[in-house]
Amino acid sequence: MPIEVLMPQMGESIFEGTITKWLKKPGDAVQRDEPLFEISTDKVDAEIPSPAAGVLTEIRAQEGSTVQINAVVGVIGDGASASSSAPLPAKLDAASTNPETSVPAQEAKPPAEAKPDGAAGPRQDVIMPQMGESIFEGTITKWLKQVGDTVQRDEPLFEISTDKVDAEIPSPAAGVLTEIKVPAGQTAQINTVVAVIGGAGEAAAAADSVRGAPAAESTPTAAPQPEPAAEAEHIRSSPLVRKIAREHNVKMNAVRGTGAGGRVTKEDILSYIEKGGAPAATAPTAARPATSAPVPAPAAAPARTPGTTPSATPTITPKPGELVPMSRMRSIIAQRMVESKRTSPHVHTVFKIDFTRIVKIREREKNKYEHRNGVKLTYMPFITRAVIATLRKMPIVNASMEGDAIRYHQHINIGIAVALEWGLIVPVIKEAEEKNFLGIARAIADLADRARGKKLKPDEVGSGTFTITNPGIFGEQFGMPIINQPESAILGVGGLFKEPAVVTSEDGTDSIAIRHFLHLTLGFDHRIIDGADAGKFMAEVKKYLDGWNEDIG
Amino acid sequence: MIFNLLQFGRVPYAEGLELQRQLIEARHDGRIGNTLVLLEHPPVLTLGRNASRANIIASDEFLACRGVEIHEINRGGDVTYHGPGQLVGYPIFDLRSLTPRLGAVEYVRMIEEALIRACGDFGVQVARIAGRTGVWTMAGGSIQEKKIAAIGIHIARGITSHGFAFNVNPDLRDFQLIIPCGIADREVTSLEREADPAPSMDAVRNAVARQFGHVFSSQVLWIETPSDLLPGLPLTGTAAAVNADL
Repeated sequence: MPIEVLMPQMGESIFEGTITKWLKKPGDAVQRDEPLFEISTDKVDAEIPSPAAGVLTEIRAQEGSTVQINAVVGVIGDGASASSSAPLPAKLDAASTNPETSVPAQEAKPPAEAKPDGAAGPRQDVIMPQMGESIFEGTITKWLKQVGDTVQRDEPLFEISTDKVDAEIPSPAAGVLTEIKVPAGQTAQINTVVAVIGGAGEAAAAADSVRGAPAAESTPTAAPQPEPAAEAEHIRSSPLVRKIAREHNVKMNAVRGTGAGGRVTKEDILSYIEKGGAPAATAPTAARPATSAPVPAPAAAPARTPGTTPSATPTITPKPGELVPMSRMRSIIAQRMVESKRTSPHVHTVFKIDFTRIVKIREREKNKYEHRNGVKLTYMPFITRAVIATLRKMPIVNASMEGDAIRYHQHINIGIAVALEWGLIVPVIKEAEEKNFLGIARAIADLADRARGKKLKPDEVGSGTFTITNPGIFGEQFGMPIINQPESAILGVGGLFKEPAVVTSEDGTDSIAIRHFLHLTLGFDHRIIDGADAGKFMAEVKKYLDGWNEDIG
Repeated sequence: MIFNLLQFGRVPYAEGLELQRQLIEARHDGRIGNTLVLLEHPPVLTLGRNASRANIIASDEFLACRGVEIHEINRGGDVTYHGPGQLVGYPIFDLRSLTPRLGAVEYVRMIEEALIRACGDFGVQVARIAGRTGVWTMAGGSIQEKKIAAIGIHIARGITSHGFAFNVNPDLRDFQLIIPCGIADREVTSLEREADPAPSMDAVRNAVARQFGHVFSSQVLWIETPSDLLPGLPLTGTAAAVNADL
């Protein structure tokens, strides 16, 4: 009798976790309570023991995947020791790792519920996807597969059309299309079941879904026949209360919990028994069908958006108010917002550079320089050279985040932002560390020319390791440039202005002089670059420019 | 992020479909990045998936006489007219490559946003109207909203195609051939009619590209020779044909 290994609930408000490691491989024998896999949630990191002895026959949730609680993550098949005496601890509760979790399932689940394995593959309902926040229905314009056809996962299955959007919808699973419930031409509400893949003749399929099998239809089909036993596992109580309940043969879901989060306290159970088992006043938690436990199927999140089912509230959090799971769309938005905030530039540091020396060099050299080298002498190669020299000393500023690691780039590829009528483009000087001043000056002029002439090639953009942007030409003092992901820093060049400044002569006398100043702003990713490093970087750049003494060719 | 910008001149509708087909394949195979195609079409009526033939007012004979083709295509939306003076954009984007990852409708809203900003660049205030996808001028007094840009997209395997049609300076009389998008009680307008001074097609094309860059947080890589992006693509439209019409 194969036993499903379920994703345990690690805490009250935790609905999913990431499998970080499988400690057994398919085919390995495993003892009951032997560590089977490791999971990690935002609050908890734990090794999960095997619910039964046997052979791990299947891993359904791979390492790195994030899984809803009660989802089937693996299957343990018959091993030598798989005797019927095992009390089907299929619902693997996290009781061992977290005493705050709910009643162990063994108590509630008769072994008779053992799930038959679907001969024709697991039944998978195909639901109408939600195309956008405010779109609640769509018309199926065409079925690309007929009943009886085999379909691969992600293979286009049908076409839908809403107001302005026309889309091919991929199959959520591989299998045989066994039923089309909404024929072409008909309009369906989102989240309604439009077809079924696999599960032919599997009458028990509906019941399976209660157990967290990957089936999104659970809400409608299983709702009329909730299993009281299954519900009990969601009712929070202490071992003492459960013992009292067992002794008095009281079903926990009949007792109204008044404790924190709907927990059934000793007083609750005693007063219930005292009243002779009067039906509990509508206990909100118990009344809900067990199916509202999060369902793991990919389609599960939209399946429980408001409007489709009133029982969208997970029973596990009986705090006042309605807990509505995010629609898939909403959760993607939320996730990306966080991501965007996390990956956006966090910190800027602004340095004021005395450019007088460089201005004088340029004024003196610019005519001869263009004549000699065929390229205009601008300020950009000065700044770029200073940056390259400093990046060589401080590779962390020339690095990128890759997952949890930092990649220190072998080469310094300087992106030069160019604002054009039709948008911004950042062509890249590759292996800039190999070029001298003249080489950099030529490369900048060439890339800018070709950007304006629409002659850049795709491989000349997008491979930068550090970007310089020069909005100062518009007269700004300084800007707060945004990092060009996945780089970790960007240098913004402000405008060049004459200002009165206090200069100290060699003998210590202060006087006011007219000097040229320019602001440089470093925008940097604070995840990998410390403020001190950024300051050090900018101080080096400033020193290089203040006291320019490089041959410009 | 970066998207490629390809500009073609006036491209017959069927060639435009073929162009999109090639780009979609290449995008799906990862041979190219996200790409925005900007072009114009000779006069043509297209019927989207939801189109009702009744929304074509002109008779087939009349259309044939005027040289207006009819194409039934796989985008969302009803009947649309394309013709000279209308900037047509086909973003061939992999929605899964964008951050934040977009749903289909959010993507449509982004296209609207880019066009709204582009109109703003020429001093024309436009807006969305709930339930009527596209870009509309503001109503005021007895003057109702008018449609300045239409949108209809197709998504397969996460790749978008079709896109928008932005009336820059088309012959608006041609819209009388149809009930645009099946909306009978609103007129269409153009940037030429709303903006003072009327901008050139070049200026509008640049503004649209730039605003797409803003809205999608992307750099814009204009590739003048399309075959540099994808061998086999036609050369930049038929420049001669464009000039002949000016």
